[in-house]
Amino acid sequence: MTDQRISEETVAESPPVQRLGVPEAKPAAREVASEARAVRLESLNAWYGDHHTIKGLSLDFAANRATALIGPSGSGKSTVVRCINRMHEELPAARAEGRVLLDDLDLYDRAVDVTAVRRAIGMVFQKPNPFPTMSIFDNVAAGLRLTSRKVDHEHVEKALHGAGLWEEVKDRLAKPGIGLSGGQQQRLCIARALAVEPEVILMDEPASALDPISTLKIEELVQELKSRVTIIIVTHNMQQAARVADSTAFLLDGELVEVGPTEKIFTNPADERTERYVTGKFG
Amino acid sequence: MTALTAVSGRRRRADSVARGALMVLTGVALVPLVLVVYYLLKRGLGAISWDFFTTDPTGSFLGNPGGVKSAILGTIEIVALATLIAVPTGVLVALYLVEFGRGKRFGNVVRYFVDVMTGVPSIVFGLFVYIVLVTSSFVGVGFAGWKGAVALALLMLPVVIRSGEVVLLLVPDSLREAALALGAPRWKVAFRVVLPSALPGLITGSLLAVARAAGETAPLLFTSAIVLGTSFNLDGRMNSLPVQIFTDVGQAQDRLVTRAWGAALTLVVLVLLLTLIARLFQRRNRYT
Amino acid sequence: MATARLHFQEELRALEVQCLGALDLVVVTLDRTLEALAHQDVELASIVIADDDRIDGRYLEVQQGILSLLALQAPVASDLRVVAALLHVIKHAERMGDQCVNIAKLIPIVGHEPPKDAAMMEQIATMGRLARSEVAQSKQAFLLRDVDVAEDLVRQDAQINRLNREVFRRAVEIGTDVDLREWAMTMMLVARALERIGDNAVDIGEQVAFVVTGLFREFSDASR
Repeated sequence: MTDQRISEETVAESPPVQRLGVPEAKPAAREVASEARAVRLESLNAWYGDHHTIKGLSLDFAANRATALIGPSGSGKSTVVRCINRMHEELPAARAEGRVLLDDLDLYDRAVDVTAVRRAIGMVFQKPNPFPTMSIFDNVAAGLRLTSRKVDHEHVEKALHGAGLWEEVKDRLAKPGIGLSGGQQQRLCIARALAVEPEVILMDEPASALDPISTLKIEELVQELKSRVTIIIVTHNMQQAARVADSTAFLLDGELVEVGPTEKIFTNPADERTERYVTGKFG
Repeated sequence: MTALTAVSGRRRRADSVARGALMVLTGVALVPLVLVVYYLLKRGLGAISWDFFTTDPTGSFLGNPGGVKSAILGTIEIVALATLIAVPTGVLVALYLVEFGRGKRFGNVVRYFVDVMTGVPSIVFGLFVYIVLVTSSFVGVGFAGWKGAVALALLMLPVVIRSGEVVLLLVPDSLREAALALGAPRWKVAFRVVLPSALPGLITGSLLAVARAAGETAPLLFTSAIVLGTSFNLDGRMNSLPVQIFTDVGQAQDRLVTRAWGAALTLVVLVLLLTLIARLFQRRNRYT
Repeated sequence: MATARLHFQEELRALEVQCLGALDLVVVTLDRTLEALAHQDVELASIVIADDDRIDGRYLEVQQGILSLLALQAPVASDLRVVAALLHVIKHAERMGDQCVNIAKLIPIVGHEPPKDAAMMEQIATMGRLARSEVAQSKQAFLLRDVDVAEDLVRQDAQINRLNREVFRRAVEIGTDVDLREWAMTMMLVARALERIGDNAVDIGEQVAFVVTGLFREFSDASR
């Protein structure tokens, strides 16, 4: 095979051929990486009534990275994510057991206040849900007001910048939040989540209700945000997982089948089931 | 290829028959309503005059019977107090039922009792207040405007709770989830997110409850009684339109009977105004 | 379990058939080339040269098919590795065709005279057989996704390489006669072309290993 001269630039930019572990994220130009924290699930079990939806799942989410959860419908991806910020137990007849660790702290410990968990771990939902009676400003500030924190204009502005929405709404902060387009509403919800300065943001299929351009904007946002927060994103769209996530975990029937660097999952997965799912042979 | 056939004559005839039947039945249902309005106007307009609204009933059978000023004011005062009692309480109960009591045993018990209360005849509430508040020395014996307000409030309460519950359930769960996921405690979710979202509907429901209470006679008969003069003292006897009508209608004097019809017309107009305001409010908020 | 993406799977299979078909074309071309060489058949040689258009055309078809599949179907995992491998395989097939053309072009130079050195002709004939066998085997290896069959190519290729070196030595020692030297050097070029065909076949074998294991590595071989 003929050798090709590889220039210095190509070496610096292109990743090495065989990567092990989690690849490096590009350092953000403007922000210093804040203390985003790693999440670890240890033997997580969840039930919905009698239905055992998550079965003894153990999984690590690296700090300051985006991890995608993929899998067919009913595999438990949304349930896992809702267990992380303890929203799962708000459903009637739902319960969860096991350990969910934010760095060293077990979120399911009896002494832990559930609202504090949710302040540290934000969530963005599939369908954008801004508060209809509030203006854009009030929507972003809602998180701060609902958790009895001081609201100042800078906080709101910073959050809107973080969500890539500032330029579009800076002249109409007093207008109702539901007057925005679908993609803008979802970014508003992201700004609302960012305003309380969480360490982790959970995204449950954040772009599945949006048009393609808005979807790409949200994906860009994830890339920018992961230098500041740890992101866990559930998605049905494998191409989205491929574009956005550093690591990808494949769930099937409430169990973890395989987890690894996204590139490996989509070029050379270790498990036969992963191979069949990503190539579209089932699911 | 399927041929598109014209509507057959038989189907056309069946359609006409059905339409005609519906129109006839609607007309039949409207007849009593039309008759009521006709009689109200025919008999009541004769009583309307400036004096009618500005003078109190004199109580004399032979001379000038006077107007119904005290009755109008009394109705407004008593209903206002009843609203003040029933609406906040009712909204809070509805809030409890929807935000905290869903699926809970206690919530179901409360809901059951509310349903029972909806069916209780208004005279029973009047009697209840009569026994507990008017004749017993618990709070001081005697008729009083505020006791009438309590009776009306009891009547309004299940209506406010029921309609409030419906409206609160209409608030999508996604809003509650969004607020919870931000780290808000449940009570804040209820008061800061759910309640404001449901406010227009709650107000509409309350206005309709008020409209209903304004027209009730039986509770007031036993609790605030009839008095001639205008009173602003809710702790004493107070006149009201339904009671005034009740008293006047049984008199032999034609002028008194006419005054009763005038009072009835006034009452209907008052209730109509309230309902219209509620409708306007609803329509305005539908566009937000 | 229901198979989704039937259309895509069929297209991928068709593309593979098209690509591996090019290797069949190469075998046919190589057979003709070797025959032309053995009998100094200049006409057959010119047919080989003209027919190379078919292989080039197949290359363009397969390349277009690959681009289309990548753009429209977004293959991943093993499907993606197959598509990437097919791009390499068709390139190697096209190279092998070009090598046959190189040989065919040399035949008129050798002329209509009988071969000057029987031993060298014998070596070259053996190289030709080995090369043909390697091409056919590389196709089998890919078709069967068999890494052992692919790695076996190295063994045969080692023989071709050895014979190549011997032809080179013989050409060096062939003597002082100008005609003889000219003939010998031409034959050496033929040998080199056959050796290149063998190398391309081994490269196809490496692609087989890549598709199966997901890792690319060069097969260890004897010195070239």
